[in-house]
Amino acid sequence: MSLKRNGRLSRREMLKALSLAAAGSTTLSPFLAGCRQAQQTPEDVERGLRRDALDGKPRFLIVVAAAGGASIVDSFLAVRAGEAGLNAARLNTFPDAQVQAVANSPFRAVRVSNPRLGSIPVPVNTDQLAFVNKYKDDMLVATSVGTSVNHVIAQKRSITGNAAWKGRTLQECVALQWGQGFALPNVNMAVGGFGERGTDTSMPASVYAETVTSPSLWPLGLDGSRGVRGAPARAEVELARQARADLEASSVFGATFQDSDALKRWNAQRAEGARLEAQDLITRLNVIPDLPPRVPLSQYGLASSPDGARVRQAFPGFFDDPFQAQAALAFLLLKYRVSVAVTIGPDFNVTLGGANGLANPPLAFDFSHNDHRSGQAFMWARLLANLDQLITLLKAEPFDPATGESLWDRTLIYVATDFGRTRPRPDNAVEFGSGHDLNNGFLMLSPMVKGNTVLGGVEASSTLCYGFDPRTGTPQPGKLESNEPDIFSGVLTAMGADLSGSGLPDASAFKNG
Amino acid sequence: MRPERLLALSSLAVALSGCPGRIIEPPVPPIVVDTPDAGSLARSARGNLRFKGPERLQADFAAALELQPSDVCTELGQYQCATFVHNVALGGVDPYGPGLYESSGITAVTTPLVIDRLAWSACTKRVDLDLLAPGLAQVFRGVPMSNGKLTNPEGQEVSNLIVDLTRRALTRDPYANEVTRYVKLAKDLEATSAQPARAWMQSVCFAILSSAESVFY
Amino acid sequence: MHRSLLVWSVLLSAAALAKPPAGGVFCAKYPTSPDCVGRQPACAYCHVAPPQRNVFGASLEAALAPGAPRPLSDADFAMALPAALMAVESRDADGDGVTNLLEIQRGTQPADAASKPVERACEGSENPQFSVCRYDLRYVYKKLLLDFCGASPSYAQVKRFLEWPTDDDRRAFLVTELDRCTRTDFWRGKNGQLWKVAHPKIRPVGSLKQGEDPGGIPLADYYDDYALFVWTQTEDRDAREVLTADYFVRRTANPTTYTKVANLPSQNVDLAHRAGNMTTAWALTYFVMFTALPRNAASQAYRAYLGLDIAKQEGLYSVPNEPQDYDAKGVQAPACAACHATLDPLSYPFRNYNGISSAMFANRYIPNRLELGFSTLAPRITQTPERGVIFGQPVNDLREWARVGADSDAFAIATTTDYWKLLIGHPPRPEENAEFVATWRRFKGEHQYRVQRLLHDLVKTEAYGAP
Repeated sequence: MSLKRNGRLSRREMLKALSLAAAGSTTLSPFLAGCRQAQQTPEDVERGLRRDALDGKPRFLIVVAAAGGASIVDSFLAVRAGEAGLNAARLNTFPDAQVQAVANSPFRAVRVSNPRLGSIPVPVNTDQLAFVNKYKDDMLVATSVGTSVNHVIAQKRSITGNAAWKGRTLQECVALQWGQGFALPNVNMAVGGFGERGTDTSMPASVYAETVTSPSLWPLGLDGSRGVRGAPARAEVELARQARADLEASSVFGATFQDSDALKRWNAQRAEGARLEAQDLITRLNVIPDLPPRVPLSQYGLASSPDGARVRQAFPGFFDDPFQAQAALAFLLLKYRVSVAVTIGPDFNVTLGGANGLANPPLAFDFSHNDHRSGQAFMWARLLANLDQLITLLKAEPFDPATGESLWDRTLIYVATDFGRTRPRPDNAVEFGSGHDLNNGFLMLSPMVKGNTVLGGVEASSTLCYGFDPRTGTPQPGKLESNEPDIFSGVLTAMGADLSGSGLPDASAFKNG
Repeated sequence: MRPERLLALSSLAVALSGCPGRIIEPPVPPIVVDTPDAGSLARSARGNLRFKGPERLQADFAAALELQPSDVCTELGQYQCATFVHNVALGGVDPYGPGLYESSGITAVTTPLVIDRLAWSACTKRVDLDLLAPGLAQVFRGVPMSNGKLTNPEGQEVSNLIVDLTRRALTRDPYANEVTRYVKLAKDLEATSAQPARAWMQSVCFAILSSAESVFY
Repeated sequence: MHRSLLVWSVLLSAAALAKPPAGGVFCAKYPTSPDCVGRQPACAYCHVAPPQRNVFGASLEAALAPGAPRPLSDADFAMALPAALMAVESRDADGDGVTNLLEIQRGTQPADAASKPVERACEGSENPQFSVCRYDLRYVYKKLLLDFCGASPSYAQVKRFLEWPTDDDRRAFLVTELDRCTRTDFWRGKNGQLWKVAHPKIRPVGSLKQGEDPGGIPLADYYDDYALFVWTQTEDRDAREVLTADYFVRRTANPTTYTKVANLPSQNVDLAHRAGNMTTAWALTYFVMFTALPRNAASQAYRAYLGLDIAKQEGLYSVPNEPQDYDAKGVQAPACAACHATLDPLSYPFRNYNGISSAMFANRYIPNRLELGFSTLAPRITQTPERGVIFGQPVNDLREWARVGADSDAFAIATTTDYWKLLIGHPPRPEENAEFVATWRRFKGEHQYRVQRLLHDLVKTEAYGAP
């Protein structure tokens, strides 16, 4: 294909492209992609304003809401006591042996062993090394400074970049970019500030999140009649719906309230419901097994997902552990092309289970108020274990047989969190409480991010993270100002979203390639 | 207010308020209202409709069909649809577990499907109870059938049932076009269903109960 | 370098600083603006997230003391702002076709194109089911029963209602029905409508629940908080006691009853230091928790009961020479001080209320708490006073804080807003402002903070009763 210097197709090329499009071919995309690339000036390329090829294929975002404040210096940027000098004893540093180097990587991996979790008699024996070794090439850690130590506010800012793009959430942006044609582009299973809607009222209603609080049972509502004992056959159901629709089209009620946003939305949602039914999501997304009498699916004409056994094996606690149930559903939502953005995360409630009887402590990462070290270790281990299973499933799931891509190749996991934790501790204390601190870092996992990379760094004598140039990635020791928009832009840039008109900073440093 | 009027009002208030669901009143003759021209109707300027939410839906569906609220709908025969399984999809809150303290105030994409489930469940329950014991029927009664078919879809009995269901669910009399359309539905179902009378009863109940007018206020 | 100094030196280079005095200056110029009746506009009126400005704020900036070196002092800013506001009155910052001045006067947002005054004209001829654009008694009857009793009236009930001789008769009947329905469990029972109003204020966490329906790690019983809330919102009771009560309330079921009691075994704060739902065992457990200076407890009370969210830059009344940063959290940094100059003095009266601790010390008032339990936290921690400031008014302790808060316009507005949202379905819209203001003023004035009377007022508004 030869493009004119102004980036436009020749007449012959245009006719060829249009005929391909008319035939339903997806090969129009390369023409557009080439057109797009030709629009880039050398200055654009130098500034890093790269525009990804429009391949017409979706990309997926999984936001893991690490509620309560997941500290990056208790994980991948941990500081050894031996590095911190005179301050080591009274700051959150670890005995040298507990902070493990990762070969050929800037990351660290923390090992913690305590007989109990604060006042809870549950041992904490965790080691992050295996996870980091396995995924370091797909990991990026970006340091950050937030602007709120209020949980709900900070949670929301972690997904909006503090209103970086008109108040849109990352999930809404992804749903807008890639979610057209998806039945439920944006599904949110988290709560608090992570579950809040963005504030850009210009967004179409289709990108707003569908809230799910019970991932195991929610799929039962994805069909209007299947599983309802004694309900008529599908053909009869449709006749009844048609009668309803015919009458509503001319009803006094409908005419009276025709300007009501609620009614307009309702009518649009009715149409969407038909799409959900057509995809048999009541089966495909159903993780729970046929287990009478507690779960008598087959007696009600229902069935477990074809992937149910595989997913249950990956997340054996799906029935009792909400976080595992969320991760299971998240995989299925992506696999069946229902969603492009899914949010999951542990909540503040105690969940019993796991190897030692406790799967989630009260307040999740915020348990650090009571016992920082063990609380952080426990929760990071919980997070990473679930992510390991989720990524394994995504890697095994083909996305495009033609290119050999897996679902993982097109997915970015962003571990959002409220804020960091305060660094001071009583001299050499192993068990101590911490408060909320604006200084922290975020973890991202994806083949789409610049892997095995730390953007920014940590100043050992203070254990504070310092910033970086989001365009070049150059570390900037001493930079401590808020960079919420950089993180927001970084996620979208790595995914290859179109940021035209966003006003977002150039965050090319996040992107792979 | 004059004392005698106050006394009369009080008595009436007691009569009306002592039993908020059903009261024993002499039957009102069936009324079918002429269909107005929807195009010329005065429109609401505020358009302030509110979705009923899980508790009100369950209560209204139960009252309309003479069911216990807990019998309106259960998933897999045991899990309450409105107040447990689909609570959030219906606009409810879940404060103690996941910490959903406030409802978004707007319907979800899945809400219409859940409404359909509630309506099918409640209507099927009432239809089956009434057909099983016609002498004790509460709602679906007095409609002549033969071999599972309505004897006369255009008869007065069918029209009366439509009036009754509309009154129960929408607290008004039906319009002529509604009766006409539901009669057409009966004929359509005759052509496709193995048990058209039952299917029609379920379906007209479903169509009314799951209508926007029924679930918003 | 000491960390707080490092932060200070970096942040001082920010291009502009937030200006909490702006709200007061704005309202001095536009006292009748809906955003100024009983309150002040929040920072979001001009800012996205301070100091970043929205389109309206940006247009103001250009007209604000042009040529004067930045940053402006608070005094210079306050002096220059009125002229800047006047200079942009005839413009349309958000391009929605409505001038800034008109938006200010009508209560819509001059920085948001989606927010503009709506002229609602009634169209069409007749309507057999609804009396659109005017108060519709039949419509209200159904709404009222659904809202307060939880179920629609029957056909027969509606028919009888319509057969009342006059509209006055119908209105009188609605009065009795409202009073009847607010005695139902649907309204006031466990997990009823009043509990739903209370959820975001109390913020329960099931696994930490003590008592009835206990959680895995029982720490405190928040049902006591719900009971007090319901008590104060029902019958002929003063709603302000949700903040000022020195008693508790016990709930029993089957039937649901609420009973005032002097003490509860689940509550530890002594009589002299109780302040309603701000000092319950749950509130102290969850909002004080382990912290020395309970900022979260203060901000949550401010948000929940006075409707002012400091995290959204609402209700900022900066106190001179604050924040003092007694606990050395670095809140004197300019970006932090904008809010903490209000929040910290708001929090000082909470300083002796303890949260999670051993049984002997948990959830109670402990004189000299910081001296006894937190003396090594920061060099000046024990200098934290108990005297604080709320709405610019000094208070000696938390009970005085509660009194000032409860008597404020903010409390009346917040309470009225709660029920406006519950019953009308959304916060008051600009076109509803006149009715809303009249309603909250009556709630505070002639209704003496009785929610029951507020409800009667509310259902009589056009916002409620006109389809």
